[in-house]
Amino acid sequence: MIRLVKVCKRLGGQNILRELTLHVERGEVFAIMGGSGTGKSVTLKHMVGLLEPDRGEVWIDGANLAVLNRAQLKGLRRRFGYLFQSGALINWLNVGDNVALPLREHTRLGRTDIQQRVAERLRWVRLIGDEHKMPAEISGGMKKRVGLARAIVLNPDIVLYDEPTSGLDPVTARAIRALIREVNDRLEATSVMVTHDILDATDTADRIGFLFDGRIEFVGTPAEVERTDNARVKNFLKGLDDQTSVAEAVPS
Amino acid sequence: MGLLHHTGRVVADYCTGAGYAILLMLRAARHIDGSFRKIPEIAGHLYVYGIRTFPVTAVMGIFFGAILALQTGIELDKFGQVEAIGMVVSAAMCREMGPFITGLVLTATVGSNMAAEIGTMRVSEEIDALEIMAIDPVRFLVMPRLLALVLVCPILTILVDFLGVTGGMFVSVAQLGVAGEVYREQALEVLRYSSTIFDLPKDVYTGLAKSFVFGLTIGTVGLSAGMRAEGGALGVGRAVRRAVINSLLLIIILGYYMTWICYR
Ligand SMILES: Nc1ncnc2c1ncn2[C@@H]1O[C@H](COP(=O)(O)OP(=O)(O)OP(=O)(O)O)[C@@H](O)[C@H]1O
Ligand SMILES: [Mg+2]
Repeated sequence: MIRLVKVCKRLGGQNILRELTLHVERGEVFAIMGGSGTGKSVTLKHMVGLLEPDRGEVWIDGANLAVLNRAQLKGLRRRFGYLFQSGALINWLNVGDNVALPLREHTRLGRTDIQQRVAERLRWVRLIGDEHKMPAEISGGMKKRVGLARAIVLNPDIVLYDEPTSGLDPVTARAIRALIREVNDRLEATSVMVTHDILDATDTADRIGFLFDGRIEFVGTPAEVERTDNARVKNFLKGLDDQTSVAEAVPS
Repeated sequence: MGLLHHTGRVVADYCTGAGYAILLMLRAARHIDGSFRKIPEIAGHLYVYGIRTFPVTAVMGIFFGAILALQTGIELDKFGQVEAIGMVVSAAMCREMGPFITGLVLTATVGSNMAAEIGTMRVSEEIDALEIMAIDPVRFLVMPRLLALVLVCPILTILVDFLGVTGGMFVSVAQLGVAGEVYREQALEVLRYSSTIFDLPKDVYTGLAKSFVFGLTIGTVGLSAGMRAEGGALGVGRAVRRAVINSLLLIIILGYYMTWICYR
């Protein structure tokens, strides 16, 4: 469904992605894990054409993004939902209008239908009664959830989440994980989730990919990840530096 | 070598910036048919751009007319021509100063605001979000703002023309001892004297044409500076500064060339 082939990307004088290859199957939830600043968000942006690879190819559902024209890209993007790391809410629209925006622009639904759908999606992300607040008046975690509600309001068939649970309390985070799983299964969508949180990955994802040094170094199901003897993956999950082994880092 | 390199970079930057701005304007123009659906939004912008800036524009207009009357009045008096003061003020305001003052005020208020608003949206990924939602930022953000400003600019200009002439009249009557009746007669006479289109005297319609161009310029420059902003809050600040400087330069340069074309 989503295929990145040897994608290279240089940003700010640094090689961020180095021949990154990744294949996300139709219908699965794929988690991308990796250290802060390693290029997870950059990878996600390549999947919707917000960034173009310097070299390499991005294929979505059999279409090479590089050869699509404006209209085709627009058509393809209607099938996407995207949760930005920062939420990226339109700052002069209130919460309800932000979630309603895709509906107003792309559907012919009437006022009440839109209201209903918006209320429903806000309920899914556990936001009730905040419709009239402005983005500047809500917390970071709330912004993220509004962004999430907006990302899934059009029932997309590919959903990309950039750190959906960061900045949330454990209870809400758990609810969001359940929501991602449910959206994926109920809408028969394909989901990619960037995360720092191993719980996100093991609870929700079908497969987990680890991004180190600009490429996906290891891919496996949560069970495979648990049993792996890939040293980097193990160290990462234990919170250890690559260079230091477990024995050195833990004082005896 | 370093200097040459740097100069080349600056020139290249300017060229890409100008190209981007012109393309943006053309793309916005292509979406003009969608403006009917956006009438409420455009009305909102009209209110902000027109009504909110009016007090500043009015004060600038009145005092500029007053200064103009005082300065030229003193000189004219030496030749015993002070009666002609209405003519001078009226022609200067309608031809040049009305559009120019309006342009200045709109650059400082609306142009900078557009750059800040759109620039903030750019650096906080809101514009990327629009693109992913398959909402064209040009249609959604740029077109309504640009159209509103292009409409506001000539309207404000007419008001400034009028207020400037009125300001000049106060000074002429109070300080130069010209009869109000004479001033008014002279002020209208100079306009009547020129050729007209749709009953608009040439001095007025060339001024309006200028203000239309100024509105388009200020909007395009401000919006494209915002769209091209990068690098967080600092980048937004740079975008605003760039928008204001470029608008001011373009207004004065385009103003000169339009005068040259119209009055050659
Ligand atoms: N527009 C840009 N210009 C220059 N450098 C960039 C740009 N975007 C990202 N980078 C660089 O690319 C690297 C990866 O950024 P990215 O946002 O993908 O990190 P990340 O893995 O998502 O990190 P985090 O988990 O903290 O969100 C960073 O080093 C960043 O400095
Ligand atoms: Mg990130």
